[in-house]
Amino acid sequence: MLFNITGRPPLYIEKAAYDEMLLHAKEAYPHECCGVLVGSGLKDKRVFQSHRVKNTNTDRAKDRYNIDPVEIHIIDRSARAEGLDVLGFYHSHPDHPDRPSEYDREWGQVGYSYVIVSVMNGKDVSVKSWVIADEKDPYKEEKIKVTEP
Amino acid sequence: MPVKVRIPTPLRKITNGSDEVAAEGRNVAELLSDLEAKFPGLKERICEPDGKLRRFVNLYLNDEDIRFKKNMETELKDNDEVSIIPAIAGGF
Repeated sequence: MLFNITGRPPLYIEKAAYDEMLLHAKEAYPHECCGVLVGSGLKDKRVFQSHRVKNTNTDRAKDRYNIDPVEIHIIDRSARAEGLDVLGFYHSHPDHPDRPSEYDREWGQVGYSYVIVSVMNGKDVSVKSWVIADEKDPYKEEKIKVTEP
Repeated sequence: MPVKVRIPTPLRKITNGSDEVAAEGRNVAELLSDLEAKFPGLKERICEPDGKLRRFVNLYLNDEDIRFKKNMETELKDNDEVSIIPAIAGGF
C-alpha cells in the first residue's frame, strides 16, 4: 500500500471515472454539480465509477449542493450487486478553491472520501479529495492517484 | 423477526467489516436497540441521545424513508431490509 507524506493512503480513481467527474463539473458551471463514487476497498480505496446525481438544492445551486438520499440508495443497491461499495461523493466549487468550506465540514461524515472539483471561469479545474478521520476532526487531504483500468 | 440491515462503509468498523447484518425488532426503535446490543457504538452513529434520527442519517425500510412512514415506530416484518443511507450536502 502506497502512503503519502501524511501517512494516509491515497484515493485511487480510474481515469474514466475521474475524467467524467471533471466533465460533469465543467458542464454544470456556474452551478455546483454532485455525484457518488463507487469502488472497492475500505483502507485501500479504489474508485471505478463516478455517478452523476442531481443537485437538489435548486435555490442555491451556485454555492450549495444536496443529494437526494433515494439516489444514493439506488446507486448503493446496484453497487452491491456488482460487489462494490459507495466510497464517497464529489461536488464542484464554481469559481472557488478545491478546499472544503465550513459548510462542507458541517455536513462532512467520518469515513467517506469527499472529492472537490474547483472550476474557475468554467474551464480551469483542480481537484482534491478530503477525509474526516474522527467526528471532531477537520478535513484532511488524501492524495488522489489516477489509474488506468 | 429477523431483518437485514445494510451497513454503509464508514460504519463497518463497528460491525467487524460486515456490510450486512441481521437484527430483530417489531419496529425500528427495537431494531436499533438490538443492533446496539450486538454492535456497541452503532446506535450513537445513527441516533441522537434522545433517540431521534441524526440529521446526517436516513433510514430506509426497503425503498421508503422511515421519516415518511412512522419514523422510529415504523413496524417491521420478516425479511424486511433496512438501509442506513447518509445525508449528503455541502457547498461553500
